[in-house]
Formats: sequence, structure tokens, C-alpha cells
Amino acid sequence: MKNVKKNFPFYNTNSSIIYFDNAATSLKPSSVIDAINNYYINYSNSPLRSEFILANECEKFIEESYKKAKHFINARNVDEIHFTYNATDSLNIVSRVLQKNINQNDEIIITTIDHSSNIAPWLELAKSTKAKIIWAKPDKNQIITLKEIKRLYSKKTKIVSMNTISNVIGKINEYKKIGNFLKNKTNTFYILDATQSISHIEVNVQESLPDFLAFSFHKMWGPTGLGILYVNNKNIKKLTPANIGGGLIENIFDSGVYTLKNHTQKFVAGTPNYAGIFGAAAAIDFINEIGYENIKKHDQKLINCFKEFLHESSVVNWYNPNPDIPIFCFNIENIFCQDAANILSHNNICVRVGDNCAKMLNVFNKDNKYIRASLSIYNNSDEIKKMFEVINKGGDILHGLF
Amino acid sequence: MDYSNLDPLILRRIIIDHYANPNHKTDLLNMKGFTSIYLKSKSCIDEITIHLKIKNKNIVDYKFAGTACSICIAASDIIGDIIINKSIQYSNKIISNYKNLVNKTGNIDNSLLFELVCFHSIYKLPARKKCALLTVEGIEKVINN
Repeated sequence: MKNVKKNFPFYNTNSSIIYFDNAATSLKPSSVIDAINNYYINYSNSPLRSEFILANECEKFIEESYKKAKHFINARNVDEIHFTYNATDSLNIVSRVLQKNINQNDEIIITTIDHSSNIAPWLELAKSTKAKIIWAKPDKNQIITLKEIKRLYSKKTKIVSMNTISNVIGKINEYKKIGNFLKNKTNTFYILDATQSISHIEVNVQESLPDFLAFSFHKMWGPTGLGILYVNNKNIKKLTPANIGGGLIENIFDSGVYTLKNHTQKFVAGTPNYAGIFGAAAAIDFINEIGYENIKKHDQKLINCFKEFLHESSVVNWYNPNPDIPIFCFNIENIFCQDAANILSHNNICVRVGDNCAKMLNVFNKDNKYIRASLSIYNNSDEIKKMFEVINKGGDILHGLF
Repeated sequence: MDYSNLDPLILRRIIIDHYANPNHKTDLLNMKGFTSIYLKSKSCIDEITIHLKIKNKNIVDYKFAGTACSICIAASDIIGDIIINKSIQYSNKIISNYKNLVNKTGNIDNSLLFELVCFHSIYKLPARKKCALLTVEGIEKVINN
């Protein structure tokens, strides 16, 4: 992963910054920035609605982007790919699309290790339908297992929604085994949030077998404001959209009746983030050029290096041992995490602190507050070393005040 | 206002002492006979619950609970030393004067700052201003309701 930094113009203006907040959002390579600019500078039109040459050219780009996204997650066809605003948007769409299929006798299995975005929409759905929420909990290795889902599964289970990898634990859940277990349970919808895994491990929807899958491009070096909602084609016909409007309507009659187009990507409406779609296609190209195998090798190096420093340090309490991706949650002894972040920040090191939106977790420590360092392809062992020099030296929690 | 004559080591000591050994901190999230309010700022992770006992327009007791950073804990504690057994009117004066100090706005009466003077340079850390203000703004809400 040598020289990968040169692809990221961020480092031209922030050469001394150690960016360890990649699980929140990642940096953007020139190719992605250029692709976004390409739309605004050279096209700036609404391609699927307009009939002029520039619009037709732009349409080709958009169609190509759908194909790239289809290949990227190994979907069966482009109808299954929907470009949304982000994973949160995708999950909210799914929860509202499924509303008509859920009633008070049904159960919804969600997990305590999920991000708020894959919890809150289901709580809202349960509230409006009077369905029951069932909480799946991680095992002693901090993962959601098939055993746990089997334990909670019943004929009443209408929805199982979980992440592939938690945004704070960083371990791969048994989502493939769970997909296989659920594949013949035709009354149950299986929803996967791949947001944290997408920049580290490949997603293959024909292997993990979700009914729906969501992720955000900004976590994988792509633009903000663009996400994926994959809808398994077996569900496309039987479900009706929750968002309707531009692009979906065939006719509206005096009587107040409207008909929907026999449309492909029918769960999103309105003019999408076209510039974002250009950027997303470039992000897919970027990830394909590097290759997941190389990413995994680099991740493993970062994990090994980080672990070594964590074990050597006498002042660090580490909460997620053995992560599969380079996410590390810890506290520094006797220093509140926000004060620690202040010290790190004054040494040009960017981390996130708090509950990191995993509000139901409560397995790390009593207060559910900690530092999260999340690393990516452009990070290296020198940066890890520098962070631990700051941590082990102990800083001034009032740095900058006097 | 010029605070350069104040020894930064002493000001630092005030913050650290109140952070490490707060006088008014409790583990209780509910206290009988107290009016309590839960405080959480939008952008930082400080979480404080304050408990106030008010009788005849006087603050007769005050406690706080929660987890927060050094600045927030110290500010939550120092304010307690100042406002307990004082009238609501006087406490309002203390708080608005302190808010002026933190925000670098309006007139500041140094005789009403007491140990809160240790935050005179918090403007240098704009992100921490909310830590310094979270609790006092909560107190303001409770006593003026």
C-alpha cells in the first residue's frame, strides 16, 4: 500500500494530520473528486428525463454506474440497485416499505451491537405496527452468531436486521451463515447493513443472501450523500414503494388515482444525486484497482502493529480484542476520553470519542464512552507509533487553555 | 479584560482540583425533593444530570451526576460552591456574568467570577466552550422556570 497517500489531495493541505477516523468517514482520492466535478462541469443535466445529446451521454455514465454497482456487490441485475442518500436513508426506506407487511403479532430481531441507523427505523416500525422488538446480543467473542439468531427465531419473526461488522467491535458477524439459515424462511425479511465492512471486505449478495442490503459510499473513499439500497429481485414486484414522485408516476387521474410506471429502481423517487453517482462509480473503480486482497493484507499489518502497541502500553484499556478490521476502541487510564481526544487533537491525531452511535452496546465499559481509532489504506505503522508516543507520554488534558 | 496577572498554574490547579475531587458530584440520577434535569450537548459527549433544591427563591442545595470531561466537571462543581445558599436573582447574575466571560461578550464583573475566572481563556478552545456552559445553562433553565 505504498504511495497510496499520493492519491488523496487531503494530504497536500494536511500533510501532518494522522487521520484515524475512517469508520466515521474516509478521505477521497482525486479520481472520485474529478468524477464529481466531471458531472458538474461537463454535464449538469437530468439525464433520465431529458432528450438532448448531452443528456444522453450523461445517461450512459449513469447506466454504467448502475452496472458497476451491480458487479461490485454481485447482484443479479441492475433493477436490484437503488442509489439513495446514504445507508441510513436506505434503512429508513426499507422500514417504511415493509410497514404494510408487518402487524402486531410479528417480531423484529435487531441487535444491541448495531448503529442507531439500523435500530431506530425498526423501533419506529414496531411502534407504528405494534410489532415486538427482539434484541439479539453478541457472544463472548463480541459477534452476533447464527446460534443467537436461531435461539430468538420463531414463526413470528418477520424481520432480521443486523450489520456485517459493527462500527465499534470490528469483527465479522456470522451474517453469511444467518443468510443461509433464513433463505428458505420466506416470511422473514433479512436486512444487512454493510456500511462498516464495505471498505474492508467484499460484499456478495448471492453469498450472504439478504433481502435488502445498505451501505454508504463515503465510507469507501466515495462521495458523501450517496448510498446503496440493494433489493433482492424476488421482493421488487411484491412490495410497493414508500417514497413516490418524480420518475415513478405513470399517470394521475381526475379521480385522484395514480398509477406507477413499471419501473426498475422503484424504491427511490425524485432527481437523485447524479454527481454522487459519478463519484460512486469512481470509488468502485478505485477499490477494484486496489483489490480487496491487498486491502485485507494491509488491514492485517495495521492490526498486528496496533495490537503490539496496545499490549505494550500500561495505560490503555482495550475493549475490542481481535478485530478483523482495523478498528480499535479503548480508554487511557485516568483520562476521560474527550480529554484524551483533546490531547490527541493537539498532536494532529484525529479520533472519535463517545458511544460512537452504538448506543445499546454497553459491553465495553459502564459509561459506554471510549476512544475509537479506525484506520484505512493510507494509514501506516509510523502513524500508529506516533499516536502511542502521545498516549504513553500522557499529555496535558488542558492543553491549549493556558 | 486583562487576566495576564493571574498565575496560569493556580488557574490550572483550580480546574484539576474540582475535576479530580468534586464537592458536589453524586452518583444518584434521581434525588428526592430536588428538581432534576438531564443535559446533553448536541455535539459533544458530556452527559450531566443536575439536581437543584429551591426554597423561597433561594437555591438551598445543588448536586450533579454524570460523565463528562475535565472542563465540564470543573465548571459544574465550581458553580455549586458559588450558588448554594444564594438567591435565584444573585445566581442569575453570576451565570450571565460567567457566560459573558466564556463567550467574550458584554461586560464582565470580575467581583462575581470567583473561581470561575479559571475559564477566562476558554475562548482559545472554541470546541470546549459548550463543555464550560452545559451545566450553568441547565441551572439557568431550572431556576427561571
